[in-house]
Amino acid sequence: MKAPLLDVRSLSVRFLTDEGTVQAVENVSLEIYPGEILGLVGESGCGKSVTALSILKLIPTPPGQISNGQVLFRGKDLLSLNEKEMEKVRGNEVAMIFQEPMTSLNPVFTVGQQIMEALIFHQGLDKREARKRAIKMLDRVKIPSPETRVDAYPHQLSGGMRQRVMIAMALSCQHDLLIADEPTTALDVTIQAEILGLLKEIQREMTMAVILITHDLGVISEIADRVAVMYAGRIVEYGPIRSIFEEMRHPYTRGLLMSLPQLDEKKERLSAIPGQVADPMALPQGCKFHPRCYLMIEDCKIEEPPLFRVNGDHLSRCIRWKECC
Amino acid sequence: MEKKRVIWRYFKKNRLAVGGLAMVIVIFMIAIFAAVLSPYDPDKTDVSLKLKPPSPRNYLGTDQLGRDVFSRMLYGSRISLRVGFIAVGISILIGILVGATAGYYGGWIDSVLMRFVDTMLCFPSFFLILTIVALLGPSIFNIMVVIGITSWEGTARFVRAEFLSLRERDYVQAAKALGVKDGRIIFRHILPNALAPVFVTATLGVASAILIEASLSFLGFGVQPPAPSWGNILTEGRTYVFDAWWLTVFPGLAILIAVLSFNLVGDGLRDALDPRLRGRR
Amino acid sequence: MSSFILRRLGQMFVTLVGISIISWVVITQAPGSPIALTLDPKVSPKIIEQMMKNYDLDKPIYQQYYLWLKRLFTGRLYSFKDGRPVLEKIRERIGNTLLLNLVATLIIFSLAIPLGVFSARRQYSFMDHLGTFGAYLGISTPGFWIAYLLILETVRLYGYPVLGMRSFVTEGFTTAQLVMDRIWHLTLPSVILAIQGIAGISRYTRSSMLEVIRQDYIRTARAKGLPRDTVYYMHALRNALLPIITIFGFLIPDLIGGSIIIETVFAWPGIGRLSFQAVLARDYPVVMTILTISAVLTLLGNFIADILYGIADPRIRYQ
Repeated sequence: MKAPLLDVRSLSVRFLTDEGTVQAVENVSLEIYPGEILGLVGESGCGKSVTALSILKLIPTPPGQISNGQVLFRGKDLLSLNEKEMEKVRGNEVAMIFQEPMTSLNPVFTVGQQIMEALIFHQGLDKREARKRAIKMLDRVKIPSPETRVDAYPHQLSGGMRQRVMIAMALSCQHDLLIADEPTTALDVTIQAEILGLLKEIQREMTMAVILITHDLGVISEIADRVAVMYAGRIVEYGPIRSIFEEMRHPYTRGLLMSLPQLDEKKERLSAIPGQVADPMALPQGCKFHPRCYLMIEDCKIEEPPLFRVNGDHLSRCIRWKECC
Repeated sequence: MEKKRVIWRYFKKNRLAVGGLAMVIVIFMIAIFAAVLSPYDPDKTDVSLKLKPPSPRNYLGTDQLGRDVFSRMLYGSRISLRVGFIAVGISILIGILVGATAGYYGGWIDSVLMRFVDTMLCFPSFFLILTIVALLGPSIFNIMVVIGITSWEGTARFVRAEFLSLRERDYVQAAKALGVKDGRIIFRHILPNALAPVFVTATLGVASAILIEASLSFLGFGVQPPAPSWGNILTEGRTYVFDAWWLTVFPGLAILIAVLSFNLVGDGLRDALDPRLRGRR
Repeated sequence: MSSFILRRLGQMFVTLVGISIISWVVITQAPGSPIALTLDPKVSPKIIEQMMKNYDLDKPIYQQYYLWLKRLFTGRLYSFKDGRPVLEKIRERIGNTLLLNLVATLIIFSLAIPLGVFSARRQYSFMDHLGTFGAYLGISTPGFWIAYLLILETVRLYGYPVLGMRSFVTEGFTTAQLVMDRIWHLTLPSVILAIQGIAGISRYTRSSMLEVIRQDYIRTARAKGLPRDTVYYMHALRNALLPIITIFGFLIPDLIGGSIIIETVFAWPGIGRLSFQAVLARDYPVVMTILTISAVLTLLGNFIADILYGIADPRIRYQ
C-alpha cells in the first residue's frame, strides 16, 4: 500500500464568534494518494471549504482556530509549520483554486503578471522566462491567442476564461497536490463540463493529486477516484467511488444521490431530503443527521456513531449501515 | 431591537468611543447643572479682580472684566451644545428630506437633486458660513441656521443610498401594491431603517458645528459677548495672551475635549454600524 | 475612456453654472446685501442712487446676474475697498495660498496614508487605537488655538519671527538663506493646516485597506504562497489606494476654508486672508469672486481626480 501524499488526521476547526463557538469541522480524517482525485462532497455549510482552507492554514485565525489534528503532507505536519515555512508550501507544493473566478483575481494586475508572480517567487525565474512560461500555461488551459491574452486584465475575460487562468496560475509550479474548492459551481453548465474535462486532462498528464470539493454528486461521479461525504462538519461516508455509488451505506449519501434529477427516469417529483441543513450553532445530540433520516431509531439520538468499516476502504458513520440503501 | 443591542455591543468594545461617550455625558451634565456648579455669576464684572491667575478662589482665573472664567466656561458649554445640536438638527432635517426624495423617486428628480448636492459640496463651507453670517449679523440664531443649511450634504448622500437599496425590498413593494401613499411609505416604512448612518453624521456634525462656532468667534463673527461662549472667551483673551495665559489655554482645551469626544463617539458608531469591518475580535 | 471624460465634462459644466448662480444669489439677495440697503429708509437717496448705478440694481435680476458674470470674466469687477480690479488682487495672492496648500497636501498624504495602512494591518491593536486617537486629536484641535500656542512657544524658544511669508530683514541674504527663510516661515502654517486633513485621509485609507483585505483575490494571493508583506503592500494597497484618489478633490474646499484662519493668524498674504479682510470690509465683489473661484477650483480638482482614477483603475481604462 503506497503512503498517502496527504494524510489529514482528526482535524477539528472551530470559530469563536460573538454569538458563541461554532464547531465547523469535527474529527475529520482523510487520505489522498499520489495521482488520484478525491472528491469532497456535501451541502453548503458542511465544512468542506473550511477543511480545505485549513490544510493550507488559510483560515483567518482570530475567529478561527484549529483545535485539534494533524495535516501530514509527505510526512511533514503542516499545522506545525510557521508562516514562512507555509509560504514555501503554498503555491509551490500544494496549489489551490477557488470558487468565484470573478473576484478571485486581482483587478489591477494583468493576468500574466499574476501568473508570473508565483513563478518568479517560487522558482526564481526572471521576467522573460516567466512570461514565456505564463504564455505556455495559458495555452495549456486552452485560452485562445495566449500571447495577447497574457496582457489582459481580469475584467476583460469571461468567467470560464478566468477560471482557466486560475488553473494556469495554480499549475504553473507543477505541484503534486491541487485543492479545487468548487471550481465550477459559479460557471454555466456547458463551461462546467469544459473546465472539468480540462482538469481531468491536466491531472492525468501531470499525475497530480486533486482534492475536488463540490456539492454536486454528478461532478464527482464523472471524475473522482475516491469520495468523502461530509455533513455538519463530519465525514459520514468515505471510500472508492464505485463502492459508494453501487452500494451506498449512509442515508445522507442516498439522499444526495436521490435528489439528483435523472434524465432517463420518469419521476413525478424530485425527492428532497426532508428537514433543513443542521445549524452549526445548534447541532443535535447523537448522530447529526438523525432528524432528517428515514432510518432513524432511538439509539441514533444518544451517541454519535463512529465510522464503521463496510468493506476494505469503504467507511460509513451509520449504525444501521447494514440495512442501508 | 436586536440590531440595536448588537450595535451597542460592538460600540462598547471600542474603548476610545466609550471614553468619548462618557465625556459627552459629562459635558451634558455640566450644561444642565451649570447654574448649580458655578461658584459665581458669569456676567458679574468686578474690575478690581481683573486678570487674576487661577487660584482657589477662581479656579480658572478671571478675565479682563473681572468675571470668573470657570463660571463662564460652565455656561459656555450651554452655548456650544445648543449651537451644535440645533445646527445639526436643521442639517439632518434638510438632509433627510433631500436624500429621501432623491433615493425614493430616483430618475430625474434624483439627478437634479444630486447635481444640486454636488454643486453645494464645491463651496468651501467655512467661507460660505463666514460670509453669510457676516451679511446677516452674528447672532446665535443666525449662526445655528447658517451652519445647518450648509452642512446637510453628507446626510443627504447617506439617506439617499439607504433609500435606493431599501425601496427594492419586498415590504415596500407590498405596501405600494396595497396602494399606500408615497409619503406614508417613506416616513413609516423606509425611514426608520434608513436612519442608522444619520446618527453618525449627526454626531460628527455636532463636533464640526462646535468647531465652526469657535472659529467664527475667533474671527469676530461668533456668538457675541457678553454671552459666554468658549470661542469668545478665547478671542477676548487674545489681547492679553502674554499676561493671562489662562484665557487662551482653558477655553481652547474645552473646545478640544468637546469636539474630540463627539468625534470619537461618531467614529465608534460608524465602525459599529459597518458590518464589513467587523469580525476580527 | 473618452466617453467617460465627455460625460464628466458635461456634468462639470452644469455644476459650473450652478456654482455661479448660487454664489451670486447668496451674496446679492441676502439681507445686509446692497439690495437690502436700498430698501432701507434710513439711507439717503443719493447714496442709494449711487449704489443702484454701481451694482446695476436698476436692471432686472437676470440681467444683473449676466452683467456680473460678464464683468467677472473680463476682469472688470472692481473691489469696493480700493477700486482695484478684483482679479488683479487675487492674482497677486493666489500663488502664496497655493504654495501653502501644496505643502500642506504633501504633508497630509505622506503622513496619512502610511498611518492608515499601518493602522489597518494592526486592527484593534493598541497602535491602531493610538493612531485613531492621534488622528482625531488633530481634527478636533481648533486650528487658531494651536497656532497661537505654537507661535508663542516658537517665538519664546527661538526668538525668530514666524509671521508672514518672510522675515522683515532680508537684504543681504544669500539665495540659500532666502530659501531657508521661506521654508522656516512655511513650516508652522502648513503643518497646522495639514493636521486637520490627516485624520480624514488616514481613516479613509484604513477602512479602504480593511475592506480590500477581505476580498477573495487577497486569499488567492496568499494561497499562491506569496509572503505576507507582498500580499499586503502590493496586492492590497494598490487596490485600496484607488478610492483615495477620488477624495483628493474634496480636500480643496477644506483647505481653502482652513486657509482663512491660518493665513489670518500667520499674516500670510494669500487669498484666505484677502477673503477675510473683504468680508470685514463688506467688499462684495471680492467675496463673490473668491467664492466662485474656490468652487471652480474644487470642481476642477474633482474632475482631475476622476480622470486620474480612470487612468489608474484598469477596469475603467480598458472598457
